[in-house]
Amino acid sequence: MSLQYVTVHWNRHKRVYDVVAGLAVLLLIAGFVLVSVVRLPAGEQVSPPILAIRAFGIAAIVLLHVVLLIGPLARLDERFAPLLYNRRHLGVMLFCLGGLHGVAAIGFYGAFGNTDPLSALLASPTDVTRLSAFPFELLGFAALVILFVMAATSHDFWLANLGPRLWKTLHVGVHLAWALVIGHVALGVMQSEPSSVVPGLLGAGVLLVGGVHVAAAVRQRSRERSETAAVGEGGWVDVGDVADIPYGGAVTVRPSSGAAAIAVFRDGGVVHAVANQCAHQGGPLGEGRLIDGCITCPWHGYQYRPGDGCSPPPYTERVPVHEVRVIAGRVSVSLSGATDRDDDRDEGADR
Amino acid sequence: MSTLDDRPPMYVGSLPLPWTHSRFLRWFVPLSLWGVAMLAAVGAWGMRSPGPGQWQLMSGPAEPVEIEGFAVAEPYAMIVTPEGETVLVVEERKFGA
Repeated sequence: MSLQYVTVHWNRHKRVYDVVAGLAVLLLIAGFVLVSVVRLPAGEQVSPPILAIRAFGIAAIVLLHVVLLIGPLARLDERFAPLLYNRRHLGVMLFCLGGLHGVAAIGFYGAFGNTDPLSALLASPTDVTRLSAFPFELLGFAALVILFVMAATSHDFWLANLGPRLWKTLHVGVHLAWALVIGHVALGVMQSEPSSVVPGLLGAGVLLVGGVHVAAAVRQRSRERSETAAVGEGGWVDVGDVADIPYGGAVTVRPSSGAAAIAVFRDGGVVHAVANQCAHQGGPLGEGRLIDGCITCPWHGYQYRPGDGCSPPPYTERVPVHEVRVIAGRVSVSLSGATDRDDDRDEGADR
Repeated sequence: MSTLDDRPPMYVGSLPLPWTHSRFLRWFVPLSLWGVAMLAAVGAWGMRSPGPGQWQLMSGPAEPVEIEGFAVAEPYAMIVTPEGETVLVVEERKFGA
C-alpha cells in the first residue's frame, strides 16, 4: 500500500453538493433573464450585455449571502452541517460569478473609451464627497480582489502552509467583501433604479445575515458562560460528574483563568481530555463525537486519537492532551499537564 | 445522566448521510431552489431598462450648451467643471472596441 497526493478527495457528497449549487445558480440566472425578457415590452427590452451584467451580479450577491449564512446556521442547527462542509466550493463559484459580472461590466462600459477598460476604471477622476458621483465600481473591484485571494487560497494546501490562524484571518475577509458589495450595489444600482425592490432585497439580505450572526453569537456566548469552570489547587479544573459526560461524546470546560477551552470525552469507561480547538480550522472538538474510536470534529470531520491527540496515520495533525483524574466519580483536568505527544508519528499524505 | 442516544447523529463528510440530515435536506434543498428562483424573479421585476443613450450636451437638436471647466484627455476626453462634475466630450467616431 502506498500514499499518493490527491488534489481533491471527491466523494458522493461533494458531487451532489456541487450539482445542487450549480443548479441553484443556473436557476437564478435563468429565472432572472426569463422574467426580464417576459416583463418588459419590446421597445424597452434590456440589451443582452446589460442583462448578462445584471444576471451575473445578482447571482453573485445571492451566493455571497448564502455563503455568509451557512456558518452561523450550522452553529444554530447542526442539520446545516452538510452545507458547511464544502462551503469553499461555493466561494470559488462566487468568485467566478463576481468575475464574470466584473469582466462583462468593465468590458462593455469600457469599450467606449480610448484607454483600456481596467486602466480607465482605476484612473478615472472620482469624487468621493458626493454620493451620486461616488466611484461604486471601485468598491466592487476591491470586493472581487478579496474574493480572488480567498478562492485562490481555499485549498487545504494553503491552509497547511499558511497555518490555521493566518488562513482563518484571511478568510474572515469575506465579511469585508460583503460590506464592499453592499456599498457597490447601494451606490450603483440603487441610484439608477427608481424601484424600491432592489433596496428592499438588499435591506432584507443585510438584516438576515446580521440577524443570524447575532443569534449565533448570543447562543455561543451563553454556551461559553455555562461551560466556565473555576481553576482549583494545582491547576486542576473540576469538570463535573463522570456520569454527566455522554458516552462517545464530550463536555467542554473553559477555565476561569482564561486558558484555552478543554474538551473532555468519555470513551466507554475511560475519560480523555484534549484542547477544544481542532488543528484544521479551530472547530469545537467538544461538540464532536467519538467515531471509529477517534474524536471527530463537527466542522470538517478531522479525527484525533483520544489518548494522544494525534490524527491516525497517514494524517499528521495533533491537538494537545490534558491529564485527567477521576476521584469519587468527579472528573478533573489539569491545565499544567497539556502536552503535544508527537511520538509514533508518521509523515503522510495531505488530507 | 446524558447519553448520546438522545442526540441526533453527527454528519461526517466521508460517511453516509445520517437520516436526520437526509430528512431535513430532502425538503430544505427543493425549498431553497424554489426560493432562489423566486428571488431572481423579484429582482428582475424591480429593474427597468436603462433606455437608449442620450447626449448630455444637447437640450434639443442643434442647441449647444456652454460649459466652463478644464478639458482632460485621459482616460476619456472630458470637461471637469469647477463643481467637480465630469462631462464627456464625444467625437463623431467610435473609439476602443
